[in-house]
Amino acid sequence: MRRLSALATGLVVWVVLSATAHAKVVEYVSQHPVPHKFGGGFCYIDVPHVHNYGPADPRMYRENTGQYYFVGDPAPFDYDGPRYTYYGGHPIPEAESRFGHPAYCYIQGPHYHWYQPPPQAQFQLSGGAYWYVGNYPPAYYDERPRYATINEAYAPIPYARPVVDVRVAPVGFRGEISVGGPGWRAGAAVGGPPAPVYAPPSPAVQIGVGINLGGGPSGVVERREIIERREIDDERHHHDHGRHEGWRDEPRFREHPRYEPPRHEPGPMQFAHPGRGPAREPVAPSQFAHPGHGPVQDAIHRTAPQNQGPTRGPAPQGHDDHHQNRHR
Amino acid sequence: MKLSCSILPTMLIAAALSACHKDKAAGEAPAAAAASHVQGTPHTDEVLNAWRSAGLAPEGFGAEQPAPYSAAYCEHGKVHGVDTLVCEYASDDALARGTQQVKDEWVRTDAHTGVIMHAKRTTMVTVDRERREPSGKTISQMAKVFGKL
Repeated sequence: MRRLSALATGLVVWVVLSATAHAKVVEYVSQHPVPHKFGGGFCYIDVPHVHNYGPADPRMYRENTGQYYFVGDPAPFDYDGPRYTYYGGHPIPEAESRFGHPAYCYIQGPHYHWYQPPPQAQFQLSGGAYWYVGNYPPAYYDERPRYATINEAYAPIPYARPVVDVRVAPVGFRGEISVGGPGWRAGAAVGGPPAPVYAPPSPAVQIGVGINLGGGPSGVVERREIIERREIDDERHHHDHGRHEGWRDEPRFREHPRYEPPRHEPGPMQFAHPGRGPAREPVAPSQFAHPGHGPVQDAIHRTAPQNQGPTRGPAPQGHDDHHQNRHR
Repeated sequence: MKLSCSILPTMLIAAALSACHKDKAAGEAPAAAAASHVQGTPHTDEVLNAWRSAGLAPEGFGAEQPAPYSAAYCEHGKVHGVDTLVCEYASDDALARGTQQVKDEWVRTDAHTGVIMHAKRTTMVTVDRERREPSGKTISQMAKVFGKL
């Protein structure tokens, strides 16, 4: 009996020890924010390394075979290294070299990265920012619904975004131009009147371009929205509610040199071209005023194709700690 | 005869001791070999000098005997308080084995931050167990310098 008791005790001790003997090991292949509960700030190690903690917010990362690459804007995380300004989505050459397949940034509006585009990449420096003017492969659109959630991750984080003069946006840029962007809701960088929200146009595959002069104190003085739509979705019901009339009556748009009267061009998918395609009409921002979702985020949701084919697994979910440095 | 009888055990003991000594010496031979640098890969002193040149301050580095993680030669010390081990490996197989052993140890122990990288068959292993440097700036600088070797 005594032996049996000793054996059982030993077994329990062994189980406890073996359970505690395995520490958490998470591999990172880039610099990244440090979760608040692990001290916060930023980890500047840019070679593969491990930590005993996982990403605070997986929406800011690409994960490949257990390795994490931070694809977000490092600025809100006490980052003090080199920074380069980008506007809108673009390929991430560094992540591609790490993972061996293309990876894309889906952050809307002006934002920072620690890397400069390689010379051979199709970026154009204009208005103080790098704009991607190359073509996107289908994978970019396929993965957009999954990874555009990064904008939701940044929406509640207040931080100073870069100032970009979008009046000189390259013609080849394909994306949305707005006064919004990561952190815009906090008002830290963008003040002034609320940004207009663009309701989708007619239910067809088309490109919308809207121009909104005026801007705000952020230096973002123009809004041009180029939204690609691939499929008809339920957003058609938002159309023809009369909202666009206000847009058309707005004299400021007509005075803009790039303004063209809106026209609808239903048909096969067309790639964006400034000044071409139907205009987007603004609607009252309050229509989309719900926590964590502002005009920019709604623009994503409302314009993202509803059925874009397979994605690579479930969308990253926000972690409890994903607003780690928010109150720092 | 009595003399021979009394000498014989003594001789046997002496022979046994001698054999023991030889065995010990034979056992030490690999250790002595392990304590020598490996040709064809950056030596530990080159690594430390490169760090010094970059403004880092390696402290207390000394040879580890026997060399851990299947390495042929290792030196252990600290750089700005970060635990650092620089090792030279005799073969690619030993390098792969050693790298895996280091990673396995990270799983067993609670290392806040760990980095292992190699230049040819020399490795740099840094472990920050005590969160001395959560930003990893020293490790990043060490890695940049080491990567150029």
